[in-house]
Amino acid sequence: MRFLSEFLKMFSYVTSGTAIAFAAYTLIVGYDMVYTYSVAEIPLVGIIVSLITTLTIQREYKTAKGQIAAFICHYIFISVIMVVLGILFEWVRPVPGEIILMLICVVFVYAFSAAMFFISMKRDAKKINKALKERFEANN
Amino acid sequence: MKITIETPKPNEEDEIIVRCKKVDENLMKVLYQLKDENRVTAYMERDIVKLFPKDIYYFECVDNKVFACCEKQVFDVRLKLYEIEQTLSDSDFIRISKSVVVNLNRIMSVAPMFNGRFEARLQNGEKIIISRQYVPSLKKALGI
Repeated sequence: MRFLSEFLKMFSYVTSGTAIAFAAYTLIVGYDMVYTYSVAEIPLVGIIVSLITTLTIQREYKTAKGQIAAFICHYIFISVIMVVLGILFEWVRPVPGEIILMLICVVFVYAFSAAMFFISMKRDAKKINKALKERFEANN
Repeated sequence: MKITIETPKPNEEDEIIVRCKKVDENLMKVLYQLKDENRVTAYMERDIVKLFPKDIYYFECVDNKVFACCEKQVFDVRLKLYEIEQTLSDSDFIRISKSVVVNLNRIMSVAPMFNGRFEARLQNGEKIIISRQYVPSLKKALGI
């Protein structure tokens, strides 16, 4: 149940971020039209990336170094998958310029998802702090 | 001696009232037993102490040893974390990571951290980590 809820949360962030990055990318590259099947490919990418992310970020590392190393590995892994999917879905051609642009888009989606996740956690922290304050006032 | 058990009203706390003509040694023994029931036996070097749960900020397991961390002192507790959880299940202690059981009444505030974890700031200024997987149970315990 917890896995499903984390997966759905991650899916919504990754898919939103991918859609924004896709829109920005098509504007930058200057495509005249976007194929309708791209609309189905974005959530598909969202499912694949979210599933991998939810499965790989379950483990918590005790040290900051371990955590950073895990994030870097995860980012490289996601980048490779995104480049492969991007070529497969014909979002990019296998040329250095477009692959670099794709990697920049991955950075954006990564940052967007992390920011959304943090905002959600801040909201949770606010609720917890309110409950703790009420509890403290009731006990004293 | 007559023993009467009454059910308190829904908004009242559980309470023990002793009505007696004289407080004798036997009665005192019973009272001490009642008071001791929820106390945690802890060790500090060669001393044995009985800690009131309210004075314990958190229990932490380090290298298979469990410690009770109070405001300034740390005591050795010869119990497993799950045993502590069971013993203090009626009080305000809750597991917040694989190695920590915290007293909810001693948490001042929480703040989000890297990778879905929260950091809890305690009344004595100490900071401890709340694991992502224990956040739902913390929220449940606080009625969120």
